[in-house]
Amino acid sequence: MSFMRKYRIRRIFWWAAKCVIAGIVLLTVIANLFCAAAKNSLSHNIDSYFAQDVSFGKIFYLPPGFIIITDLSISSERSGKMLPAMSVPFVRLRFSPLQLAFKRDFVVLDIKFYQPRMNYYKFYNFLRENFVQIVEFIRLLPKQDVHFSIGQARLDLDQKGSNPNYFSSTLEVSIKGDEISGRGSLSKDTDVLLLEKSRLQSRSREGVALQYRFRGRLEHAGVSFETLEVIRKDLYAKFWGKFLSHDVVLNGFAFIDTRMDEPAQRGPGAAAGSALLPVSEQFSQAVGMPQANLYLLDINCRANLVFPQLRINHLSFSINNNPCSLTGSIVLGDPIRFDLMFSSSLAHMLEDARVENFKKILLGVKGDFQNDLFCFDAQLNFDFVKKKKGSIPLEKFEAGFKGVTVNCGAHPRFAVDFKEAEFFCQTDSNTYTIQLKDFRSSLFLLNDRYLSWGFGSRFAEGALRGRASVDMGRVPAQVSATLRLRNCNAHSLDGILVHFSKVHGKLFSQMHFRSSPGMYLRGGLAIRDGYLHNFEFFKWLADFFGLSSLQKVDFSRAVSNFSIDKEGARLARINLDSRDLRVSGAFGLGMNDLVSSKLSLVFSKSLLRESPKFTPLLRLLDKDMDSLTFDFQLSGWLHGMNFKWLQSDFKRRIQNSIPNFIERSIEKNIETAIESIDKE
Amino acid sequence: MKRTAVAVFLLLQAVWFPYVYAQESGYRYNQAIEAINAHDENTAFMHFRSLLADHPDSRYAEPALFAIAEYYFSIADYQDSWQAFNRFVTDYPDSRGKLFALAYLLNIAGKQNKEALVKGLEKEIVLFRQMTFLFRNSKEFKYISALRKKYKAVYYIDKIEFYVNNELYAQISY
Repeated sequence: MSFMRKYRIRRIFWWAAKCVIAGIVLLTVIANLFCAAAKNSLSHNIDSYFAQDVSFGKIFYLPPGFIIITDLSISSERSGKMLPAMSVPFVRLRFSPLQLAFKRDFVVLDIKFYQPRMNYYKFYNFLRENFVQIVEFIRLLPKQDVHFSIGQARLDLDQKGSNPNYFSSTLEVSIKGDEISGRGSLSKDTDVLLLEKSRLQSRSREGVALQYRFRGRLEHAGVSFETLEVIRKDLYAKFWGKFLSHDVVLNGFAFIDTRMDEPAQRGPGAAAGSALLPVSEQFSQAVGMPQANLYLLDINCRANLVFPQLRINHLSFSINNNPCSLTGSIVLGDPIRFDLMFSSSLAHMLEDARVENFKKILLGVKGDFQNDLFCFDAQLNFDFVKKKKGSIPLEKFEAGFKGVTVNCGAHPRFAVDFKEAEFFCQTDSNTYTIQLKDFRSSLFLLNDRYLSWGFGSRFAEGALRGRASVDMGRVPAQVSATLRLRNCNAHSLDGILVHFSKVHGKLFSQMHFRSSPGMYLRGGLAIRDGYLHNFEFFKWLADFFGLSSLQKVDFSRAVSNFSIDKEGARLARINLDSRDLRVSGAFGLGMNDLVSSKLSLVFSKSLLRESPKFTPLLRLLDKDMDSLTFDFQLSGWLHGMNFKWLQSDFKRRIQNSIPNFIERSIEKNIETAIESIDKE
Repeated sequence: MKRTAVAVFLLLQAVWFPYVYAQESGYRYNQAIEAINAHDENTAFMHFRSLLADHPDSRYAEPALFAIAEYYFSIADYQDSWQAFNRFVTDYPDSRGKLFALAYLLNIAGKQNKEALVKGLEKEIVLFRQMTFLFRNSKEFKYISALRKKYKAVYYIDKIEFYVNNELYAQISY
């Protein structure tokens, strides 16, 4: 009896199970038929929202409550021949079957995108062209709890697919009631080819991941963030604010370690940072960034986003206690237009870098960006406070650029060109102006820290060529450069050194510049087939000794080495060859316009015969000597130099031939004459 | 008659007063010099002070002020010495003692590690006189102060040495 009962119950269960399975299969089949039928209408509905072609492969239902969408893609062109802006091989939606069965309400609980792949430029275009629709779409979504996630997304960085760098990203967002929270990561990875088992294999090299997490509240007109944290091993940033209607309000702070994992540089830099901002250092330790050396605090942003225009009404922050501000607008159209003005006073931050006399920096940029090409005009102004010992001797530096183009299409190589630029520099004693025209350059980012830069330009009616390398891991960036000048007009360089206005001829030069440690510029220059016209020193000689030929000194070649550093400027191994005159020696101009110089002048006999003042001296010369050498030393203040006639055979011969009281008398007369010239 | 007598009296006062005034400042100066000759610099200092206070426009005020500044320096009162030499440089720009007063100021600024002041004073001293050396390697300038100290500045083409009683007390190279 009991056996029969058991058998009957088992059969009932067996049939019930069969019925349930059959029901589920039937339901699945019906649901999938419904999905197949809904595919076209869904596609049609999405098409009405977006300008781009949104397509997908299959939609099918999996019990109990999953919908799978395969091969979802968004193409910028309806024809679909181009690579899609975004493609997702697999999308999973989880919904509540009970809600659907009993309330006829299709409630999506979870959406997950698996391995979506996007092209940055195309996806950006998609976002830009459909921004309003996307916002509207999100706004119209039913208010319900939902979980949204993206796994292993890949964002390619160029259009041709030749760039091995790409971004990897994950994202998880949860909405519960009015609360929204999420987390994710972003890293810049690289495809590299590795030789494995005698075969080249493509492998992914992962970059340093940037983690982020946020928590906020959905409001009627937008969203407010209680916290938005951005974390990387060299960065910790925290923001809070809101995005309501069109108004963006954002506050926050950030700690950054800019020293690119160089242990040798961490010691002194970190010490300087901690001495400068002990409170900030304690704070940075509290958030796990003890090595931070760049503190961005008091970030306060008020902006207005009326798509496509983002107007930054106010963005202020401090970098290591140095206040900075940014205002302006960005139009996210095609092309993207920007008009921004950045200002800062970076005295504290640069103290560590021995440029403590920085007062204010002003940078204005206005232009546009389209198809990897930046086009803009820019103005950069630096103001310096009064010079302190060891600081660079600048009071003002201004740079104006017109017609700048930066082509980023061949990353990591950039073409940086401009039509015209003018640099103005004011030190405690002089002003300098440099103009460049038709500047062409190629900038190559070797890695995150170093770049090399080759450039050429028209300059002073000649040509300038150069190559520079920049270490961006330091503050300020370290620059070393080699420059060559060819066929420049010497007198056109009077903006750099006023004395060049008296020098004529074709100038050739090669020089080397290094910004730190110890900024210097050194090199050599040669001037060919030129002349000196009313050159101060020769003019003085011409007036004083009645040698009118020295008003204009023709020469076939004048050469000199030069160096400029914080101690001053020096000319060494000066050599000027003229028909009646030869000059050689060195001339140095230090701080406070103090001169240190030794020069040798060789006058031809024919030149000396011009002046009656030299007639008695010529009698002392041997008849077979055809020139007279004066070696002398100059020192003291540039505009009132001390003069010493150095010992020579000629001087000894004069001393032997005149009594002491005549020597004193001559000396007195010369002094009086020099004083009278100086007074003039 | 009375009026005439009063007028004559006032006229005599007017003529007599500057003479008396000069006599008075000269007298005090001589007293100070006598004190110096007796190696009593403290008393000399007091006489110079009262001379400067009572007769600031006297021709003896210049050496008196230099002597006061020297005295302060000799007792290591550099603050008062600085003020006195500074006043001397300002009030008597054409004095032969100005160069040596600047050297004292340079010395004091050096003692107080005021680098900017040192640089400024060095520049002022270098600019003070332009030199030409045709046949000689150096030139000397001398000054004897009221405290009977012998000062000497020796100019070379690229340096200046300052001596007081033949002892080097300041030097500038450039």
